[in-house]
Amino acid sequence: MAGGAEAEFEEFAARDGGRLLGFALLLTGDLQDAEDLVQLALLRSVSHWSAARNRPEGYTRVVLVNLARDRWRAKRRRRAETFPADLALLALPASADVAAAVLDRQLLLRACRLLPVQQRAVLVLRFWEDRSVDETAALLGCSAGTVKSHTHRALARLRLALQDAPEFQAGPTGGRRHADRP
Amino acid sequence: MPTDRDLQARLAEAFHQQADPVTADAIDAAGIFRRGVRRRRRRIAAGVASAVAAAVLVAGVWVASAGAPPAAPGPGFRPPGLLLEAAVVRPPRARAAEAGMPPYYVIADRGRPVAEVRSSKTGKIIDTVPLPAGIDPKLSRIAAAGDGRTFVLALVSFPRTRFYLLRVATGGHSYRLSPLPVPPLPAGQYAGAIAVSPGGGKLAVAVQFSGGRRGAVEVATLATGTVRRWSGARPGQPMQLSWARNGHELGFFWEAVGSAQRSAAGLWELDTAAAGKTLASARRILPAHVGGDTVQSALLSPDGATVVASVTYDGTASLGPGVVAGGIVELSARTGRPLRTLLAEHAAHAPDPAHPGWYVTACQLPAVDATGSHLLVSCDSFGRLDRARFAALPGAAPQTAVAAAW
Repeated sequence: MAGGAEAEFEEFAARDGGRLLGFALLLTGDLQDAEDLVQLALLRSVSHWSAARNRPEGYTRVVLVNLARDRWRAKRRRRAETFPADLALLALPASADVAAAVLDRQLLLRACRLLPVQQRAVLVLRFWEDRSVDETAALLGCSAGTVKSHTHRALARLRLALQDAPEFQAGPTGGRRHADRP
Repeated sequence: MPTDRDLQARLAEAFHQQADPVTADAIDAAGIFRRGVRRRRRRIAAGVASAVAAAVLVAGVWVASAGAPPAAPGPGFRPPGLLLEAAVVRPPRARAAEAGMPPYYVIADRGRPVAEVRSSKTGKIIDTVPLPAGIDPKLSRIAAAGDGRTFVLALVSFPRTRFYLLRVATGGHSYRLSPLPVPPLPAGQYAGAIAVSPGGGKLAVAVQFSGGRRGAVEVATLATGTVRRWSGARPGQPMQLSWARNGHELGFFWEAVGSAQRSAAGLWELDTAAAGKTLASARRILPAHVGGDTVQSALLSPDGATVVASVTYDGTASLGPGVVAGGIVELSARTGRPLRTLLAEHAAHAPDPAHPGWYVTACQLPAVDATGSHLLVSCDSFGRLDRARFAALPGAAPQTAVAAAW
């Protein structure tokens, strides 16, 4: 790789690496898996830099989505170990609001992970990155119509998946749902 | 049911909560070019080598992150690279390996309130030390001063943790257990680990708080009972302690809580002779996450020059038969670079249809002796590691947490 291209890639990775990691985390739901995906995706991008350099972010995102679709998982066996401080964890007084908000988020994220990867990617770009339909389509290399239909189907499936979670229905944190946002 | 708009808003909030913390990290892209050409001098399939080399790319995410508790890496700090890359040491013959080995070790029985003094050579019980009634044996901690006679035990009689001195003499055949004049840890605080300074003058305690989100390190002067505490500023806990021979430098392994705090995880060195009340004054020697490698635990060697660490490869690519996916490595305390692999663990495939995959056991490092050449380790089985030669020992079930010292 020539020095100029190397510098381009470094700049790209430094600028967009964090967001790619966040994107991968939302696709996989697991930080270690996300790191692995980003590593592999960046390696593929740098290996095909002549093709990727014009739109490296989009190229790498498509690679990430493809990798997430057929990723191969390995699990490490670890001893189950209880640290002393964990023993008193259950006795901690917990705020009902905080617990409900966490439950709300967990239900939603878990339901998201049941969606096909392509639909998940669309939701992440649309609602995490606030991308427009056209931007999302450009980033994922598909048509605007495909983005719209993925969004519609994904939201419908989410709603269906959440039907069995009554605690989600009313929105447990009510008007305070966005209190944690800056 | 929520409206589309409501669902989108809640989705956005959930996404932000989960993913925003990791986006602030930077990526050291230059690493892929610098290190991509390095080869692992081991029996590893080429696919693994390239995948792990690629993994270094994101090592910078964790290594280079600033503002992490207890303190950011100091000037000149460089990511140490692949932890499992150093050559595997060929074990010496048994007699040479065992030279200078402590004659016995003390180990806590996890099921009964007793500690056992066992022969290091054979593992046979030399003597059994009854512990105070009412303690929870699973939570016992043991540390040694390195003189072969002086041990300290942290014993939990809920909800307090008290400290005891165990003097063992005449080849392990006689003992005396007595309370130490050190204040017990109050309810809600537990000793995650303890370490006795060389010479036995000071006791370091890794204090974990209820809830598991805060931690501190205490050093008690045993002659006076005075205690000095260094508190952690961010979520996390100290897990392991190890003194350098000078009696000032104390190594502690910091287990971060939450993905956003993960860049702080690793082995830190605290100068206990310097001023300060927080762990922010410590210097990180070794990050816990280096590329695809994860440091499970680490000890500072008595001379302070090297680190012994238990490492696993956590990546998901290209594992297979014969691949070294974990082990115990020796690293430079100055640069963090791996020097030798003392024990190599190979990946094993589990065909469990529910969770198929390649597995490796994360080793524990209960103790290092005063010379730094002999370790008590718990991998697939408990035993001693003498200059890279492993010998199984009795006293602990396979793959369990072990409280032992020598």
